[in-house]
Amino acid sequence: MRRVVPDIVNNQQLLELPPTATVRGAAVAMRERHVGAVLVTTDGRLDGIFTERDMVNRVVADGRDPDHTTLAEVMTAGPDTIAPTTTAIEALRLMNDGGYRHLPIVERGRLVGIVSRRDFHGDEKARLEDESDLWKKIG
Amino acid sequence: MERKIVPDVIGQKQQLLELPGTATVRDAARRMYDRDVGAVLITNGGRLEGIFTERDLLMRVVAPGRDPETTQLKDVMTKKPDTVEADSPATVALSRMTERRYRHLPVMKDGRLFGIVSRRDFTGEDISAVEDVFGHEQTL
Repeated sequence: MRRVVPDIVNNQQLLELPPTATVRGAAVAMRERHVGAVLVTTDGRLDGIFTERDMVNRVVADGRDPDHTTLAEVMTAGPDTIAPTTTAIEALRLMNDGGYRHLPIVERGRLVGIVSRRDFHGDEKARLEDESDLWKKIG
Repeated sequence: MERKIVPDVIGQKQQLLELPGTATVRDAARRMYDRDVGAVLITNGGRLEGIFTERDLLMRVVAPGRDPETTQLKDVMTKKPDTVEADSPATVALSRMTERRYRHLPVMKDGRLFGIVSRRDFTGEDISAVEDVFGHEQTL
């Protein structure tokens, strides 16, 4: 059974920005690194997460100016997180239930990584689908 | 049995999010938010002209500092996007999306725009079949 650390992520280069960074700054950094989410941190502690979806929903749809909006205003503060020892299936289940595409990994209050839906294997997704089909039958 | 894009991956009738090329990025973002989707199809008289996704909003609008209020979709969309036929096998579409790193692919039927398929529409089994060909590392 795969666990998020070390089987899925190991020694990641994380994209971290402070809550005072602008949305525009985040967009430039996300484009450079080809990632869909930024981890918002203060001294290595996770304050929030900001994703492409937040860019659409909370910035542009809402008519905010990316140059004058800080991540603190539009991030998801205190996001759900997982521990390094969390299994792949548990992580995927949490992502499905919450509708998340990304999930930060935290150990003793310190940020250690992030998993994305695309990091999981087809057989892990299939197992979870079987599980929810079963719940539907029982329910 | 082999799964096909229609009717196995997407249903017969999708409510498509279509906008004209003259719509602004701000309009598109509002509609994407309302409909909870990650892509807009740009059409003209039912004909597909382009696709605009949340990734394009990040890369082509916000990062370079364009104004979402005045930027029109025709200037930032992907013109004449790749498409897939409605009767294609699920794994053929997913392989193409994996290889070219698309999250969305418009679906055509009899030369007309019929729908759109997103990565999240595929099952774990479809993904496993594609991993057997590409290996896990390439399925990003």
